Amino acid sequence: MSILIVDPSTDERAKLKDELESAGYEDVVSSNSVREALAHYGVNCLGKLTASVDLILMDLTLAEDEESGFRAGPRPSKSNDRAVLLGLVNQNDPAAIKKAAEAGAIDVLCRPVIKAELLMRIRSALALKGEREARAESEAALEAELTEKACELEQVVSYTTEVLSLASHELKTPLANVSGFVDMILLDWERHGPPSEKQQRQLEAVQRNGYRMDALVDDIMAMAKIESGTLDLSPTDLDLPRELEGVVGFIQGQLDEKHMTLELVAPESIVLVQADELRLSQIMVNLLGNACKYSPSGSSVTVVVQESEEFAQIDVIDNGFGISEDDQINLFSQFHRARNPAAQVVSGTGLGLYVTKQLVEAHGGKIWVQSEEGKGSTFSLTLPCSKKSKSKSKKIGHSHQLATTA
Amino acid sequence: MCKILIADDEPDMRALLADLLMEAGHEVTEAENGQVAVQQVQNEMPDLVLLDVLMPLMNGIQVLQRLRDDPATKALPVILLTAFSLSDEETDILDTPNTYHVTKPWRRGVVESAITSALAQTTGGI
Repeated sequence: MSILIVDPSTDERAKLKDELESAGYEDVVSSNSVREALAHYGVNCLGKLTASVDLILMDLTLAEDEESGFRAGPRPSKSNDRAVLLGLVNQNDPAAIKKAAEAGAIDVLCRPVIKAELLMRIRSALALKGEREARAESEAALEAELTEKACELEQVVSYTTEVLSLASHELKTPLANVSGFVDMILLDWERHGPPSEKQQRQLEAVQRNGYRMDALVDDIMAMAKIESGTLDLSPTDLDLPRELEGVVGFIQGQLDEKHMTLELVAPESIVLVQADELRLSQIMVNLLGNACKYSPSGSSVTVVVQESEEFAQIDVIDNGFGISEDDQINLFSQFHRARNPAAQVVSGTGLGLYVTKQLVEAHGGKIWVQSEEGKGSTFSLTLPCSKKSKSKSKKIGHSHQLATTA
Repeated sequence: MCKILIADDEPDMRALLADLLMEAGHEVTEAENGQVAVQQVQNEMPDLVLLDVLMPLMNGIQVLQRLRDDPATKALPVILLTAFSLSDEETDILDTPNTYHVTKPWRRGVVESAITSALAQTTGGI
């Protein structure tokens, strides 16, 4: 701690310096005037002087020009990183005490100075300065943190806006298809009478594009629920292979459109999982839809179901374009697409995989990807097996036991 | 009857436009991405190109730029199909001659009338 004593009396200055040094304060400087103190620290103004020391003990019976100079300067005790000012006054000198208060002193010390009192005042003044600094520091840290949070929030809002704009653009293509094909069909009926094979193909296109928009709206709604923490699942026992056969119906149109085939490889027996039927369908529509979208025409997609003790695993294997290592890193994260405009070479919102991951994890499962550019991708996920399937096998064992005893 | 190239990565969108154009008696060829579209234009020399903007390998704006840079296709009628608004840089290319713009989803008749005016322009010019 550095202390500056400004006192015109040589004896008193020396005495105060001695007393402070004997109490362990090592950096004590004494001057007979403010001007001399400025010269000592090699500074040209009071502001710089008060920034050079921690505490100034100053006689406030100084000459008028000295005082006014100090009064006009920055108030030392009011700034956080500056010295605190202790006024040195004669007892019963209200004018000096008033002057001290005006100069921004936090306390006064009355002459004759008692050593114990001097040390107490110095100690508490320095303690106050320490507290002020600590508070200023924590306030600054808090402000920095708030600024950072505000930036993050702004970024999230802009990503959300970007996703919503991608989603609405993405809705326009299937919408144009739906209204366009309906127009064509109606026009054809007007001209050529009842439905033909061509019109059947067109109606299938209408249905397919309707499903696409439906899936997209489902993802947008799921994201809203995930964000607001209001996603609830209604899990029931589902036979996984049978459910997957059902889901294929939703994307058959997309497969047909690109002349693609899908093979489902599953155990003959039932594989019971605990899952929300609609969400399971949403998960699979997303994964199969992607496999279809990112694969060349005429290629095939394989879905493999395996069952282990606690989990059932589903692998969706495609022979598509594959995903680069860089793109794999944040593939499942929110706003992946919004953050990577370069990834928009093929249309999409980037919402699907984020929502899919959240849904799988809400079921207590995991999802991951293995892929190499140009060599296709395998998306794998796990879902917890139904507890009932275990209790069921127990029951079978039990009844078997009963049968033997009988 | 005219020869029209449809460049769109969405098979349904191509099928829809093909149905529409064949209904009107035109001959149709298709391209599923921007690179194929450029090749098709060179090989087939169509009378008109319907060009989607968001396509893999080469987007519609890049295709159009390529066509406009080539003297042989400098004035080839092109209708850009977009699902969203273009950037300022991209709208500049819409000012090139014989370039038209239709946004998705369109109302009935919009594509037909764009095709009619695009084709009228060239036949009128010849």
